[in-house]
Amino acid sequence: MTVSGLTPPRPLAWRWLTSAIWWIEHEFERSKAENRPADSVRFRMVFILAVFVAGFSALALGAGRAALVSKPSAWRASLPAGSRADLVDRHGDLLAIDLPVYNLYLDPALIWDKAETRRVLGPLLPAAAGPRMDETLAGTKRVKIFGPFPQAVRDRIDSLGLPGINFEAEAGRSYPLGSEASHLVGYVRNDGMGMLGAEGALDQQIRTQAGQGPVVLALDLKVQAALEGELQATVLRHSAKAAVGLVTNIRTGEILAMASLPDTTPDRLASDMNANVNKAASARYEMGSTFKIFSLAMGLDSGKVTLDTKYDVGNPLVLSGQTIHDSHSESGFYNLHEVFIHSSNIGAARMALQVGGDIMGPYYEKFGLTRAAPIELRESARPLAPKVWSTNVVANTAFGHGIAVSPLAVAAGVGAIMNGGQYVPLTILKRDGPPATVRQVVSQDTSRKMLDLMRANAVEGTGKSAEAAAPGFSVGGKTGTAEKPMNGTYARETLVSSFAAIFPTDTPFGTDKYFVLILVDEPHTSAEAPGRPTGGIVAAPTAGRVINRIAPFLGVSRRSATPQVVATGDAQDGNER
Amino acid sequence: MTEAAQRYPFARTDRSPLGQWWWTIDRWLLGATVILVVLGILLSFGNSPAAAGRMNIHDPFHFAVRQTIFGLGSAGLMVLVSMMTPRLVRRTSFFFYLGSIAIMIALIFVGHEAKGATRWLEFGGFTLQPSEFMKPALIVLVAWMFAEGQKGEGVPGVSIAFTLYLVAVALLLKQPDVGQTVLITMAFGACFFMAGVPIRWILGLGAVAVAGLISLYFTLDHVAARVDKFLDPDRADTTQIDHAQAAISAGGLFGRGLGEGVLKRQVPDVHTDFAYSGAAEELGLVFSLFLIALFAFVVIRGMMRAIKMTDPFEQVAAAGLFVLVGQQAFINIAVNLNMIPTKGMTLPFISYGGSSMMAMGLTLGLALALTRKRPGAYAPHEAVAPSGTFS
Repeated sequence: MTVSGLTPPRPLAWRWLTSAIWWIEHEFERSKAENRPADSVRFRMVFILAVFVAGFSALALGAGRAALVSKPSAWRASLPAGSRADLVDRHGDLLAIDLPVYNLYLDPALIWDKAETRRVLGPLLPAAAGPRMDETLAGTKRVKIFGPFPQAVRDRIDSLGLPGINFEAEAGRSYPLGSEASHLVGYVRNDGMGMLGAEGALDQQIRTQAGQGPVVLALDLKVQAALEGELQATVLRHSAKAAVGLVTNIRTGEILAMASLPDTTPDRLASDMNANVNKAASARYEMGSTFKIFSLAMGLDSGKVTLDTKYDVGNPLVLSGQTIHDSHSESGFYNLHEVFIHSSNIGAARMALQVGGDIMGPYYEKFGLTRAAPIELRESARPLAPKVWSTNVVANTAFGHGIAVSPLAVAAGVGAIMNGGQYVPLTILKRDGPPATVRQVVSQDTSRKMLDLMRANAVEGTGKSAEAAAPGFSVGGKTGTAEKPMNGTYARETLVSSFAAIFPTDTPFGTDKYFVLILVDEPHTSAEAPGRPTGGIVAAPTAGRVINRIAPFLGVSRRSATPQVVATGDAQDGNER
Repeated sequence: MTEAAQRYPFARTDRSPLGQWWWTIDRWLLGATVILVVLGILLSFGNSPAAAGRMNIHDPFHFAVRQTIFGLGSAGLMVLVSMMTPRLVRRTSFFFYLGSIAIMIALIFVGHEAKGATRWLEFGGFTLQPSEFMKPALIVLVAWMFAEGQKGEGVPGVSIAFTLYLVAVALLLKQPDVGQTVLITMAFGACFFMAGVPIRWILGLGAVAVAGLISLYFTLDHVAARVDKFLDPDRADTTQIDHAQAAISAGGLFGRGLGEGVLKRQVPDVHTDFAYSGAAEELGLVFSLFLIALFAFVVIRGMMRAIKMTDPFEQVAAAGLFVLVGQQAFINIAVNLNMIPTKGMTLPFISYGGSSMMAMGLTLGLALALTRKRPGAYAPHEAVAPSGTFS
C-alpha cells in the first residue's frame, strides 16, 4: 500500500485508519452471521460463568487451607504471644518472654448484683476500683476497666465466680526476673514497640528472630546479681542519690553487667522518672581523677614523658583565673608513678601542659571521650567535651574536670588502654571474640605500663581498699572523686565518687581481662566508713567486693590468699582531690 | 391506587411504581445484596476498633458509624437505580461516565494524594474516588456500543467502545492505579468476549494484554515489588499478608468469637482491604465459606439471569456488571488468602470506603434494573411466572 522507506502522507494515514475501523466493524458484525455455536452470546456467557464457578470453588478450597491446614511458621502458630523473640543472658537464662496478658471487661448488662461486684472486685484490684468501675456499673456498655495483667491475676478473678466479667487476651512482654538488669533489658511499649535497653536497641532483630530461638545478650546474670547487690548496699550505706555499676570484658567489649540505681520497677514504669533512666548509658559525669588513666596513658604514649619524669607538686599550679591545688599538700616533687598513686592533680595538670593540647585532644578523641560511646543502646549519651584544647582545658581535663562523659564511654576508653591498646566498641550482644576491626589507640608498651600503675595503685595507693576486699585477683584500679558543678562553681561537699578497676592485671594481652566501674552519686559519710566520702572510701571497697564475688564465675582464680603489699609507707587513703 | 393495594402493600394488583418494582425485580439477588450490606455493617463494628486503634483515632467506632451510613446510602442508591428502565440505565451511565472522566482529568491538577497515588478528590472533609463510579458506567456503555455495532446500522461500535476504554485506562495509569486498570480491562475484555468477538481476534488481544501487564511490571516499581514478594516471600517484606495469614489461621473452623480477635489488630487495613481476614479470625471458616458462597450466588444467579435475556445489550451489560462485582470479590479474597499477589482492592459492600460502597450500590442497581422482568426481556420458555397470573 505504501512505498517502502517513505512516510505515508497524512491523508493516506487517515484513509488507512478509517478503512481499518470499518474493516474491524464489519468483521465484528459478520461474526454472528455464520451462527456458529462458539460465537453465540449465550455460549460465551456460560463460559464466563464456568470461569467464575471455578474461581469461587478455588477460593473455597483456599479458605479452607488458610484456616485449617496452613501453619506457615512456628511463631504464627504460637501467636498472639510470640511476635518478639525471647531475650536470654549469655548462659541461656531467660530475661524477657512474650506471654499472653489479659484485659478485664465489665458488662453491666450481665451483672445482677452490682454492689457485690464492687465489693468483691474492689479489694482485689485496687487499681481498677474507683470512678471508672462505678461509671461502668452504672452504665450499660461493656467497658475495659483494667489490664493488662498476667494469667495468675486472671485466675484469681475467675475464681470469684462473678457474672458479667470477661477477659480479652493479647500479647504481652513478661520479665520473669522483675527489675533485675531492667535497664539493660529495657522494655516494650503497649503496642509492642521496643523502647529502651536491649528491647529498643535490638528491636528489629528481636522481631525478625521471633520463633527462631532467643536473642543472646552478653549479660551474665550471676555477675549482674553481685553487682546490683553490692551497689544497692553501697547506696544504702552512704545514703547516696544514685549509683552506676558496669562490668565489661575488655578483650571482647561485652557488657557482662550494668546497673543503674535507683532501679525501675518490674513493669519499667517507676513513678520516679529518675529511676527509669539508665545512668550507665545516658547520664554524663565529670569523673574526676579516674581520668588520670586517660591523661597518663596519653602522656606516656606520646613519648614526651616517662614514669620517672618529675613534677613540682609542692606549689599550686596557677593558671589564668584558676589555681589548682591538691587535697593533701605535699612538698617537693613527684615522679609520674607517684602522681598516679597519690592522685596529684597538680602533677597530672603539669604533665598534660608539658605534652600539650595538640597531642591531648586527638588522644582523648581516640579514647572515645568526645563522642557517644558506640554501642547498640540508643540511650548512649554524647559527652560534654571541650572543643578547644586551651591551657585551662588541658590542665583540668587531665584530672577529669571540664569534661563530662557517660560511664559507658569511660568503660570503653579504659578498656582500650588496659587490653593492649585496642579500642573495642562495647556491645550488649554476646560475642565470641573481639570484632575483626579494632583501632590501636596506644601501644602495648603503654598499656602494660598503665596496667602496672593500676596494680600499684591498688597495692600501695588510693585503691588499697579494693585490693583488701578482693585479695589474690591481681586487682588494679583508680579512684575518682569529683565535686559536682553547681551554680557555676564546684560544690565541695557534693561528690561523685568512683572507682575504675581492672583484673587480673598480670596476665598477657589477648586473654580475658575485666573492667569494673563503680560510680556513686552524692554519697554521704557513713559510720561504717568514716571520712570524706571519696572514691577510695565509697567506691573502691564496693568494686573490690564485686570482684571478689564475680571473679570465680569468670574463671579468674585466686592465686594467693594474702595480698602482696609493697611497703612504701607513705601511701594514704583519700589524699586525692 | 386500589383499596386492596392500600391494605396489602405489594399486592400483585399493585400498579404503583414501587409495587411494580417489587414484583419485577429479582428478589433473590436483592436479598443476597442486602445481606452483604448488613454483614458489612456488622463486621465493621468488629474491625473498626482495631483499625481505629492502629490509626490512633479516638473514637473506636469511627469507621463503623461511617460504614453504616455508607451501607444504608449504598442500599438506597441501589434501590433507586434498580427502578430505571434500560433506556434510563444507558443515559445514567453516560452521565456517570462523563462526570467521572471529567473529575479524573481534574484530579491531575487538584487531586488528594494518599499512599503515593492521586486517586481522590477531597471536598469538605469527604473524599471521592471517581474511578469507582466510572467502572459500571463504562461497562454499560461498551455493552451498548457492541450491541449497536452488531446491528449493522453504521455505528462504529467497536471503535467507540475501545475509545471509551482507552480514555479511562489512560487516566487511571496517570494516577497511577494499576488495580482499577486491571479490573476494567478484565471486565471490558469479558464484555467484548461475550458480545461476540471473533475467536481469531482473541489471541491477538490476549497477547496485547499480556504485553501490557509485563510492561507495567517493568515501569511501575510497586507493581514489580508486589509480584516479586508473591513469587519469593522469603526475600520480601510480607508483614501485611503474614499478619492476615496468621489471623485467618488463628480463626480456624469456628473462629475466636465476635470481639475476640487479637491478631486482626496487627493487620494493616483490616477495615478495608483485609476485612476478610478480620472476619475469618473472629468467625472462622464457616463464616468465610458463607461469605464466599454469598458472592458466588450473586454472580452466578446474575449471570444465569443474563443468559436467559433476549436483548444483546441488556444481556452483555448485565453480565458485565456481575463480572465487575465477581472479579473484585474474587481478587480481594484471593489476596487475603495469599493466592495471588497483594493488590489493594476492596471487598464489595464489606470493606470500608464511601466511594467503593456507593459505586457498588450503583453497579448492582444498574444490574438489577437490567435483569428486571419486562415484557419480552426474557426468552419465552424461560420467563419466570409471567406477571398478571393472579390478577
